Amino acid sequence: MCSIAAVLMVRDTSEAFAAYAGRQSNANLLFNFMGNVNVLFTGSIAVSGFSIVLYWKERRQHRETRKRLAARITELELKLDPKRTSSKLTEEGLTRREDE
Amino acid sequence: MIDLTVLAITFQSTVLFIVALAMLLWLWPAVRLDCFRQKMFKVRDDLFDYAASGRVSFDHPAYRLLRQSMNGFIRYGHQLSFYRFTMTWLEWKILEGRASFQWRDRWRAALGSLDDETRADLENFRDRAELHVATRMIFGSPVLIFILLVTIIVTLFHVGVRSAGDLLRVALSDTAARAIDQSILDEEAARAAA
Repeated sequence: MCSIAAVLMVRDTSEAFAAYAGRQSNANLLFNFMGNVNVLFTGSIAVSGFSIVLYWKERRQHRETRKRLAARITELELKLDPKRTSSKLTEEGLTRREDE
Repeated sequence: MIDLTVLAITFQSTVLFIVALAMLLWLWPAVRLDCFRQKMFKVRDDLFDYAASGRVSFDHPAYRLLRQSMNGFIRYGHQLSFYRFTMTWLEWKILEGRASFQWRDRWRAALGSLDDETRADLENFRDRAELHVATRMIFGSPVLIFILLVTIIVTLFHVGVRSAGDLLRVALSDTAARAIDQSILDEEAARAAA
């Protein structure tokens, strides 16, 4: 269903550009087009994009913290439980490639 | 001829579609998996602290079995879904006709050698881990979400209004008891962690 929607969107877009071909300059077309893009939409996309970037940075920080602390915790816990078993995730707490 | 307003709407729809798809198929599953693993790590850490306090030995079979099971769930948390569970259930029950559960039998035998208080505490750790597994499976399946909603309504009518958290916990446990065979999950988790 997703691919059908994507194909329809691409088709509509290409039809529109084909219809305008040779009638207006590219600059005019772009200005008119941008004038029709909703301000609210632009704002929403900007906020969403910013949120995704923040999420991405925060996630990277979280992984680095896990990597830094996991080794220390393992070392300390092994002193109490020498037979300590592990979940076998990577140092950053991710699924190993061979387990995917 | 398509005018520029239609073109702009098509452009907006395309961008929204791509953003929504990225969130639904990539960001949301990654966050759910991280949350599940963190919750399971928390239970495992609490269990470790419990053993470190001297109330159960690190070498006791019950402790080792419980930790092994949690390790399995953490390691293969990304594969924990109702669809996979159904396939495993079919394989176990229909193709192989298995009826005995090695992990469950060993767990019960191990609990037998503990005093009542420690046994209850370890069963509580296991219940907490089970609830996290059930939550992950239920919220990852539209079928189980529907059963959960029905269970919430039934629980409300039978037991009455209680705190939202308590209601959700009871409904999750009831839904899991109806739809998920925990013995199979334990067995698979223990096998994965071995």
